[in-house]
Amino acid sequence: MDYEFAYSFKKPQLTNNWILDMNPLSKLNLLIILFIIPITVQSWKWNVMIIIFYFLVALVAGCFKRFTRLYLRFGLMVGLLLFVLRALFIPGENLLYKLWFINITQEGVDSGLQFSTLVVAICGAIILYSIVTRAKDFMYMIEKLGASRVISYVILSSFQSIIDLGEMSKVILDSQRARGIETEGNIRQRIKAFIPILGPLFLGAISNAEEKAIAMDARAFSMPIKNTHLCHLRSLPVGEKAILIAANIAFIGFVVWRLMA
Amino acid sequence: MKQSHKLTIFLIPIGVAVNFICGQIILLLKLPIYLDSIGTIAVGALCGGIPGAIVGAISNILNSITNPTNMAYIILNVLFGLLAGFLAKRGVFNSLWKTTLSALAFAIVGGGLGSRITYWFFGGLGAGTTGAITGILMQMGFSANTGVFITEFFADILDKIPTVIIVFLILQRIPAKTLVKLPQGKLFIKEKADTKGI
Repeated sequence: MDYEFAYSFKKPQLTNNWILDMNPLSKLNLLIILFIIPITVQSWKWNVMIIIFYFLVALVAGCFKRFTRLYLRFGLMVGLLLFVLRALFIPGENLLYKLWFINITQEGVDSGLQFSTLVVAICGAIILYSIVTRAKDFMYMIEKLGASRVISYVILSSFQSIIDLGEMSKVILDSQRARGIETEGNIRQRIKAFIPILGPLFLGAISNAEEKAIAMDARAFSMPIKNTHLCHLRSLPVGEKAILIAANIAFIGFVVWRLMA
Repeated sequence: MKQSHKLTIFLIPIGVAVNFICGQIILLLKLPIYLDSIGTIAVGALCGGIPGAIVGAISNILNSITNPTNMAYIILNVLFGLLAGFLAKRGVFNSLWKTTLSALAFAIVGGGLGSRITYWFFGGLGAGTTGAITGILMQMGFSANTGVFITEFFADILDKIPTVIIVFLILQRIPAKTLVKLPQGKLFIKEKADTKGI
């Protein structure tokens, strides 16, 4: 038996990357600060700076590629759309360009730039957090704070169910095609194909849930006792604590300074 | 804890997953609707309003990982779950025409309240195709307030009618042996099935 592997679960599982190994709640604290700064400052230059900062953090954390793919897609789909809609439709005095019934005004462009960078900057904090934090670490911390293990189970199991049911839906789609259900063609045919896929998926998932309930019960899931954990998080290092306190003080100082100005 | 409530805990992740997978199936079949609350409404009808609301909230939070602007609409999914539980208790999901009418109630929440949220957070011009239509309505002289209501209400009713019909068809197909284990499952067990067995 591989004892080294077995004993590795006695220690916190570290990735040797400072950002990834940070406590989930410390990360949450820092990202909430980044979340609030754009709202208090209201300047697109600050927003752009914060957006660039997210990319740097992702680079240091070693998940640049994953973050960039998700964030760019969001930025292009939502950010750009928010900008274009505002630029096209917000009425104003200074006309830049006239196209049929659409008036592009300076006010529209300004408000579009301001609003879209604000949304992208705020949402960047959420996307970055989901990339640099593992869901199970986060749920572990929530449990440590006193949440029930049922909540952890429901959330983590949701992630897993999405993957499982995704696989299952592909299998069902292929079998229904083999049986002769049209999944191509005009819109009526495609709508009709929806029920034969979703029906078996949902019913199969419910009967799986019954089996899972029995299996979990056999593992004392619903017993009123304290549960154990396979993975642990390290206790907060002094450096991390110091950074956290410094960041919070700097942030409060910054907000007070902005409110005074 | 009663057995029926135990199964609810295991059905919540499935409701969340169904919400997501529907989106994927829609993409595969290239359909122009969302159908992203089937899981919420189905679990709300089967297990009660609170589990339905939990499904809605978790789906919304997981959805927000790829598009955080969704977070603003979390209350809608919670209300869909609660409303589904409430309507199921009134026997709405037992007949097709009542179910179809219930789409109106869901659209009032989704379109009515949803358009308020779009108005408060995004000034009416939300991110999405409905935002573009609202923009055109605004140029035609509607106020942002009415424009966003008109587009979102109609977009939502087009989405909710197929949603509730699909939920109805699924609920009819769940076997009685499963229904008896669910908190609100008894509402969907047909009398005929019982007498036939005797």
